[in-house]
Amino acid sequence: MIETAVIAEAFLNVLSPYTLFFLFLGVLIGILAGILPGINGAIGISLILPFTFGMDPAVALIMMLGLWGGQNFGGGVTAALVHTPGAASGAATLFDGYPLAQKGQAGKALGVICIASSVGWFLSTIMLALIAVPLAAFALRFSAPEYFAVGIFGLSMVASMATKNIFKGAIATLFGLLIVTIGTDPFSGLPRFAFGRFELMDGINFLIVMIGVFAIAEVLHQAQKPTVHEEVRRFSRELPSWAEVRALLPTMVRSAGIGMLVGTAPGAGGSIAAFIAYNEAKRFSKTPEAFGTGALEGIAAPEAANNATEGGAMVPLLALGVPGSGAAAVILAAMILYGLRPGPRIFTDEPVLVYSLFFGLALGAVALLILGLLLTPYLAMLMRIPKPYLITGVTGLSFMAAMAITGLMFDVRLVLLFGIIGYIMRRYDFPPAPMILALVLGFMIETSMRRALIMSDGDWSIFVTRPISGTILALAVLSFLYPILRKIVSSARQGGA
Amino acid sequence: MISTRNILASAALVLATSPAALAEVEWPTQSVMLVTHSSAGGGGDVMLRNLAPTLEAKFGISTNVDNRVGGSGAVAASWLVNQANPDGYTLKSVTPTQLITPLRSAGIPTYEEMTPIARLFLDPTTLYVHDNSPFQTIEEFLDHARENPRDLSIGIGSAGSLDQLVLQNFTAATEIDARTVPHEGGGDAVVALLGEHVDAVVGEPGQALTHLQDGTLRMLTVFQEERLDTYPDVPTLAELGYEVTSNKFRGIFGPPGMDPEMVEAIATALSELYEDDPWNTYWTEASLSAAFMGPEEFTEYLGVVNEEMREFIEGLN
Repeated sequence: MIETAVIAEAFLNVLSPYTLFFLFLGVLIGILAGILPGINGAIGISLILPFTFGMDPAVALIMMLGLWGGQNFGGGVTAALVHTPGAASGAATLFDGYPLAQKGQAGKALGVICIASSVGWFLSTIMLALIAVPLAAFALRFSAPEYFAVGIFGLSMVASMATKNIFKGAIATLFGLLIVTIGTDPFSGLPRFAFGRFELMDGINFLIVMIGVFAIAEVLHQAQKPTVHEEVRRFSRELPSWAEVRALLPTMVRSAGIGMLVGTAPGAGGSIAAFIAYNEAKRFSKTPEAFGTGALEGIAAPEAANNATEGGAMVPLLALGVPGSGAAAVILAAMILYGLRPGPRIFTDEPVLVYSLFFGLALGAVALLILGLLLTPYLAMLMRIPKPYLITGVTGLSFMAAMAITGLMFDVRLVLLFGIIGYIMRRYDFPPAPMILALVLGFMIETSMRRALIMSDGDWSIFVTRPISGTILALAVLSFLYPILRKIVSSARQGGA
Repeated sequence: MISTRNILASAALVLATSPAALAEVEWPTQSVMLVTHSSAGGGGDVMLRNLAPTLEAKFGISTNVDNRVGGSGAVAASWLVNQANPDGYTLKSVTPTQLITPLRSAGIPTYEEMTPIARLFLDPTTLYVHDNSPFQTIEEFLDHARENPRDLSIGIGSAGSLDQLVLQNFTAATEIDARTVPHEGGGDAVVALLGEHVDAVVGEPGQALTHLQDGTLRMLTVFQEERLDTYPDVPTLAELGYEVTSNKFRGIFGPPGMDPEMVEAIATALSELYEDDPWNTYWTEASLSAAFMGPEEFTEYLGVVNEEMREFIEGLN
């Protein structure tokens, strides 16, 4: 049992001005790292790591956790403003964030991103503090069949993403899955569809595809429009109203739960959680047709979910010493460096530290709310930049990001190639979202399916006889059929009326 | 020492006609990039993430650990040969994987195309099971495996690795039939064992350190000549009469075309790190043996090991 004295000591530690200063600084650096494409949480944390020597370990870790959370918010900001995510976790925010900002409501879009990020972060921290240990045990029950089921559940969202033309959606999905097969066969270790190019042996990073298909394709699209008499574009810095935020609460709570669970499973991560939350928000929405045109729920869901994955990822990190993502791996390295041993015993050996981290995370969410809302009006001013300058800047930023992600000139050319592919897809109404989804999930689906079949010695029933896997697969079937059934039911009703 | 060196340097300065004559290479003087082919939490990754702070503390420089995962090390190797800067500040962790992968498929850079800098450790390969496992000893494990062919599944870090070769040797020598389950790195294999999704893992003790210490996982046997100092109760497989040993080396490579003096300087710096923390804590607790070799000796050693691997892999086909 945790003593009150321990909790009080941890709380006072975190409330000291010294800790708070570094927490706010961490969140601020994280926001900037998130906004810049190509700089992710892991890189940001590695960059500040050397400056934390000599700091109290709790303060240093709290600063890193702040950076991590700030980064999840920043990624969504770039997605909403320039049609490409600043970090992988912001991928799903683009679908409604960008249309809303284009409607001149950039302030509202960023406000929702900030509030949802903070709420998701805060709720996941509470869940972390309450159920970290049992949740870690639950996470261990996830093995290959379960990861496969999660991947299939994710893919089932294609049906609701491609509402206009399910066949074009399916083609886009298959194209995404094809791209995933490029690289190295994970079970023989031999190159596969790499065309003798070592740059392709690691596969194609999905951010490279996203930057091409969204940012460069958007640039090509915008460049085609005449801009002879461009007036200064109107935009509002107005934040969302209290009533709007309150209406989003159920979405944010649900998404935080999804983010927390997905984050707990090592190897899934922020972008997968964001996609699942986005789709669930659409399913629960009273106005699903508004999704894709700037629905506030469509912005709040992925952002609450991706920030909540941080609390989720802390579960295996603290309780098992297993890092679930790049950022978590750097934090684990830092903990070992400070002489801490994450594992089941850390809760009893270092209770003050663990509770300091929990309070630090909770206050980090508050710091993000304050900093995010203060920065929003200035970030929204990006929208005032005249279009020719903006799209030129986006082009430069896209190539810079490609360079930053892998350091390969080859990938810069890939961005251009995917820009052209994205432009053609857009021209002929192939939705890019299912393709990105397939890219995010494809590798996990392939490796976990093949691993599960080795585990079962070729017996396919392993996917349905294991309770968690079977349940998730059943949900996947329902999720796939839901939009189709819904259409049939509503048309039957109309026919009857 | 230092003052002597200074005096010598001053003397050289006076005497030297060309500035190149007194070039004494110092390392490190700037940020070091440490590259590994293993994923977060895997053996190579853990090594570099302990080397990094040790270098930082000792030399006051910054470091960066870069995971270039994929292709059983081919991605990292190709990158090192084709793109890394040979200035001595981009270094790569190396394990037998770097020898095996080019032997398995053509077109992947071999160790001869890189610059071997230093062998640092020999790393034992072991077999461990979950605490809930019915097998208390390796004999029980083998008995069950013989009576129930293909019933047991054994996890390894990645396909085409030394662990897989050791596992194949092990199953061949003991005449058992078990299923091999490759993962995305040693860390992932340990997670699978923690969740009891595989029956055992063949790998280094280092990747399961905390769990072996607190008793969640139990080591059954060691694939090397002698018992480990840190696990004196665990028998070697040789004690049971099966000659399956693996000496997995860990070292540091650089890109091709490095200045030989720089290579010497790096090797010297690395040879003097063993007692520094957290490096010291890392290798003692992971049951590694300090087995330093400088660049020339290491290159010779690699030639010998490479031939052994080649024969072995050809024998498998």
